[in-house]
Amino acid sequence: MVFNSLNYLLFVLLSWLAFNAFPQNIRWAVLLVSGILFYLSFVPVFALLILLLGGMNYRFGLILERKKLSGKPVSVAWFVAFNVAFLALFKYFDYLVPVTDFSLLNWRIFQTFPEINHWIIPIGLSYISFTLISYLIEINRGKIQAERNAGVFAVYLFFFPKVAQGPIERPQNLLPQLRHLKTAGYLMIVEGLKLIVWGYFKKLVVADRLAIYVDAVYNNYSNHSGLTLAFATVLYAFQLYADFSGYTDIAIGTAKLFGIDLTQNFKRPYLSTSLKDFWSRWHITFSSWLRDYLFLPLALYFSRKMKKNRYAGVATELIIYTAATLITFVICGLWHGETLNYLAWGLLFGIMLSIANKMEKSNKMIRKKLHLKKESGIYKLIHIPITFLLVVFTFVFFRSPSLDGALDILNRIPSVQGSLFTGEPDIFIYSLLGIFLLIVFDLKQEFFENRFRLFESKKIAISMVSYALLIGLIGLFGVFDGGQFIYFQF
Amino acid sequence: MHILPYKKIFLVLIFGAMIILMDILTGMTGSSLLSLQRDGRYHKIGYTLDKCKEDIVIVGSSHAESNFCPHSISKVLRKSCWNAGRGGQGILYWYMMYKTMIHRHAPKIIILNIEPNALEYSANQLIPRANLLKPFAKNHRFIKEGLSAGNKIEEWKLSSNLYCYNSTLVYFLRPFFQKGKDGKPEDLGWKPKDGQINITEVKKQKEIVNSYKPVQHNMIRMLQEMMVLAAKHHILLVVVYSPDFFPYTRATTTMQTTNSLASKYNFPVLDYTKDTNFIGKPHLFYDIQHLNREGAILFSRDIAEKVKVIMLSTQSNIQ
Repeated sequence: MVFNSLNYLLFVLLSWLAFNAFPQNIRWAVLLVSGILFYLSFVPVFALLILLLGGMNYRFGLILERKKLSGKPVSVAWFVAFNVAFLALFKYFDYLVPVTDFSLLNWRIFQTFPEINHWIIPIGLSYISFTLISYLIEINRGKIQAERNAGVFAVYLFFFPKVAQGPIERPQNLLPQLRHLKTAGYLMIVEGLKLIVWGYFKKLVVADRLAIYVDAVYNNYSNHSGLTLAFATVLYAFQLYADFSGYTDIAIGTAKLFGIDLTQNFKRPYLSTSLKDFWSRWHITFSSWLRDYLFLPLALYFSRKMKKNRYAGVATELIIYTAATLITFVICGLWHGETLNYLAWGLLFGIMLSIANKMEKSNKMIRKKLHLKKESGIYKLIHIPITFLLVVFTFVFFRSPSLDGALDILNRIPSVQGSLFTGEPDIFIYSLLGIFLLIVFDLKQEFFENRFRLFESKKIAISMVSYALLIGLIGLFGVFDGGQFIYFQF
Repeated sequence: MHILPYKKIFLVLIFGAMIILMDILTGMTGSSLLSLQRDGRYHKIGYTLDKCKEDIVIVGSSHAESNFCPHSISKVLRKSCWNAGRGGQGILYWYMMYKTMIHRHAPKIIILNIEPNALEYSANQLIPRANLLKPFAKNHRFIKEGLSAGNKIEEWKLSSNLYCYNSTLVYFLRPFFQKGKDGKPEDLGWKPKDGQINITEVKKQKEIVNSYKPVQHNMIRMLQEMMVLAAKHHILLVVVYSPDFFPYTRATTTMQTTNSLASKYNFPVLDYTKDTNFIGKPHLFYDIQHLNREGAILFSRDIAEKVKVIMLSTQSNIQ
């Protein structure tokens, strides 16, 4: 059951009615049932796997806490390793079991839904694994207590708005809300519904429309000009953003209907002024996860090991930052997929961030000489497009079917020869319209938050008319073919 | 901000009314724009469904649209002719158009150009293409039934104007800015292709299509229903397989099924897939699948001559 289907809206409505019909102390059971039903709508057998994984981690949490309290702590690394191994088994199945005639896809139970047949990984396993790892680490760090109520813990994993694609929720944020489920008030419901409408706008009007053009070009890239490939890559950047942030808006909006606040996952990433800034605005729950559970522990580990101030003439601080960044982003790439293009994508980001870090001091000096403040308009005018282009450049690796394909495309782009492929005129025009609206909305939110208020107007009539028009735009220009979300596959 | 309960209900009702009003306004604007179409894809569909009174109607996909010149056919047969072909479509689209048109007007002759793999496509593959007909679903029962394919939710969605006029704006407006882009009105539905095939650029297709892929049962049912309707209304249905530049089609399950159905209802079949008058003649082709203007005129004349003979023999049989 994909978010962009009427079935989903009907499912949300029924779940919401059931949720509000039951007394507060057993509402978690309603959420658990709805979460499992939602999960069962994909490949049913995987629900058992996730229940098994969840059950084991529930025990791990209790063991960790008990051992810690008894003064005989057990290393969390074993439990983390178990989750990583479980994820890797499914994610890198083809590499781990390189026997061509053996495929889980040959088994009837894995063939329930044709659209996910080529993915052997249980839906949302990447997100669930990261959620579980953060749960265990936070217990180990003593920041939270292990969850005693197995039902609440299961909802923490299976809460349907986030089970398939995140946000990757920290236990500190979600578990307390699940323990004390409240009834969403009128304003929270309205806020949730507004977010859902925005999510559908991004997905149906922008992402799915752009997908038609981008797929037409990238699926046949050898027959397109450098200009077309460059243009399609820029469009892909918007497609990816609209697709994933659209999903997140629907997830956060749906959660609000149940009185639950999920974590913000996007904050206008294409208006970032640096790559570092970009990663603080893009897939925030994932990037902050990498920072807190990978980058910082790695940096700490290296700093403990490297006692000297310099190694081979290079400052230790720089070596530590670079090494931790590269490892983090290689893992970030591999999290997205097992193919070399994802690895290259991660590595490229790691290298670019390391270079940016190295240049930080000299940049600071230049800014000082030019009396240019980071908050100034000129600074943003220069840095936003540069950052955007760098990010778009990396997306060639992200979108390409293989590393060879990405290199071929990058080889062809600089020639900028040949005409621009426009395809069907309506798709081209609607694509540009969608991007235009997306950019306008993001610019308004970023730079004129308290001005030109239409959707957030204090006058209810203006706000209502704005949202009615937005629904009209979705109806008139949306793509209703039930296209899957891009990050669903990760 | 505290909002009184009755006010909440009132606001929800107002918002619902706004959406309904917007839907109604979209419907009014859409139908006005539709009625203003003088050329373009929507004009062609609208004309076929609601207005055409021609004696001969050509039905099919891109082969039909570009290979059949109504003027040439009219000249030989001395009957008015309209080309209702639409590129990229399949049986489902033809079926809905055909059924709706016949319900209003039964032509004397229908030329049905069948692609050699036409019956292999499933409804799931054809519905997204046939969604082009959504703006006509409200006022045409058979189109609504065909597009919803028995799905109640889809049927319900098709009662919304916003949904029916989804993604139509560009093609609604294009004829006002670029006349004749989707076929000129004076060509009577024909979309001639000007130019000639460049054989040095075309890779020779050595593989002979001898496809025996399974055909879809509901597509066979639609084709059969089209033939039953033609027989019921005393329409001469002529099945045509157009020529391709390379003689790569020998036989397909679609052709076999269509031939047996045509023979069951006594309808003639004109198979040009092996016709050497056209095959391999670069000056007659625009690309490997479509004839150019010159080829289409020749082909249409040839078809018309053959239809003339068929008509004469049918008449003599009757006498």
